[in-house]
Amino acid sequence: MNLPGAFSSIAAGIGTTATLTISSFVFGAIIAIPVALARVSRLPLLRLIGGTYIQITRGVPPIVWLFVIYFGLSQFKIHFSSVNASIVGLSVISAGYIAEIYRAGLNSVPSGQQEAAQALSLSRISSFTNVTAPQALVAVIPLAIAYFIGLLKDSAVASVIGAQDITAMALAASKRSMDGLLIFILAGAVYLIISVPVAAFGRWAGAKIAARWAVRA
Amino acid sequence: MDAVLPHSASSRPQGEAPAAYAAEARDIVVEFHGHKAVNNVSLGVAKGEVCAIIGPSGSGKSTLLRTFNHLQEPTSGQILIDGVFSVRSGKPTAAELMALRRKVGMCFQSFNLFPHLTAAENIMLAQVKALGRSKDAARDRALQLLDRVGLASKADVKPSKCSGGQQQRIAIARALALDPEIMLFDEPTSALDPELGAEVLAVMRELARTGMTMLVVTHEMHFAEDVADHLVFMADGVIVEQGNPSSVLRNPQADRTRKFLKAVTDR
Repeated sequence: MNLPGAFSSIAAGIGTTATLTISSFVFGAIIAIPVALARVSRLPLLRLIGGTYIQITRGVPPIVWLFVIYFGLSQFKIHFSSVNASIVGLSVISAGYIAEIYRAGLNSVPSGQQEAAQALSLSRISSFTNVTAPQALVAVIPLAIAYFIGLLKDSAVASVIGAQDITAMALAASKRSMDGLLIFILAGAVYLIISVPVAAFGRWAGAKIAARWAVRA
Repeated sequence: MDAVLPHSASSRPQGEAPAAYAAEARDIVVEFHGHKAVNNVSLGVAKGEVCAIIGPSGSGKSTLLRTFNHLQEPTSGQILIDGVFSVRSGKPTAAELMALRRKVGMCFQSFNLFPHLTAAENIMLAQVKALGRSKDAARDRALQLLDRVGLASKADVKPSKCSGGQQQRIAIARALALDPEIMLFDEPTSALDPELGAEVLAVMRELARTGMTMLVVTHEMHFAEDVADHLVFMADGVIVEQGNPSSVLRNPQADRTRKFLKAVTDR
């Protein structure tokens, strides 16, 4: 198999990898909001629930999650396509990681900010949305982009349950051509071609936001 | 303005406080892990009076100050504003706390300006969110207050581009924007070099002249003698001595006061 041919067969998986990564990241970032709020709640029961969610999602390997969702749930007549099962699994996991990123962001805001907001008679909601959250975002964005890159690579696990992503395409091509070394080096290069610009964007956006808001970063 | 006489809880009549007190702490105890940081302190501040609290670190003076707007929840005791209990009983409700804090403004040692907002936006935020003023009215008020503290030119500048003294003056303007009846100052010049501290003290002097009731925790003895109507010396969680600032500073009665003042003046 020639180089352009190998490249184009691997590149056919980029769409699926992108779908898996972006969907799981977006759903994860949304589910992470209530998880993080529970994690930092004043109520011990909510803190326990949030903490337990984070422990379980991060403590079980992604491939086990996908097997449970793809093979396990079919016993209860719940059937997912391999792509959908992967999105569900990776969203659940990324929510755990992103919730911890949100928490780190909230903890990075000095307690004096909260006190000033209280002393100014702001409601708890206003204090969160107008004072704490915008400042937390400065710490969250670089961490979230670093996690996005991690998720891009981890999404390769979806190939195990049959999602036709970059890794699955590379596996198929290597079986056809018997040139595994070239094919998988190419596959690695494709992941790099996506992740390097994303990382560069992350550094740029993080610096931009920190400068714009002039927050002690 | 008359200085407030020392009083103990037992000698006070029950029920409403005399209307003379704009702010009053009654039998305040603040306990941290079994240690009484503030041990049964009562203190009244008359309307228009400036009361300075001095004392060594760990004497409980900042902790006492912070109970006046319930930023520090007292373990027991009450805060009265204009003779009215600020919290009815038990755990204060969010509405009680917000109402209290509209009447009691506060400035912090570390300023605590919101770094993501400009000076004007810092002053506008609570006007819009807590008082429900329109953005235009809030901005007008912010510009007027910035002018009052001598910083009209800094309206659209972020705090990080201002000196510490300027930041503290913006913080004073921010607290004044809610039209408080009482202002609390927690060591407002301690994080500043003497020159920058002086510009903050000048703003506070002007504020005192306009009749604002002020409670000031400070290490600025000159300011305390010059501007304050009443001086309180605290150590180990209790008021050791209080009275006319000049007489307390120049002719202290208690040994603990003398020891502290000697350490201050011998520097």
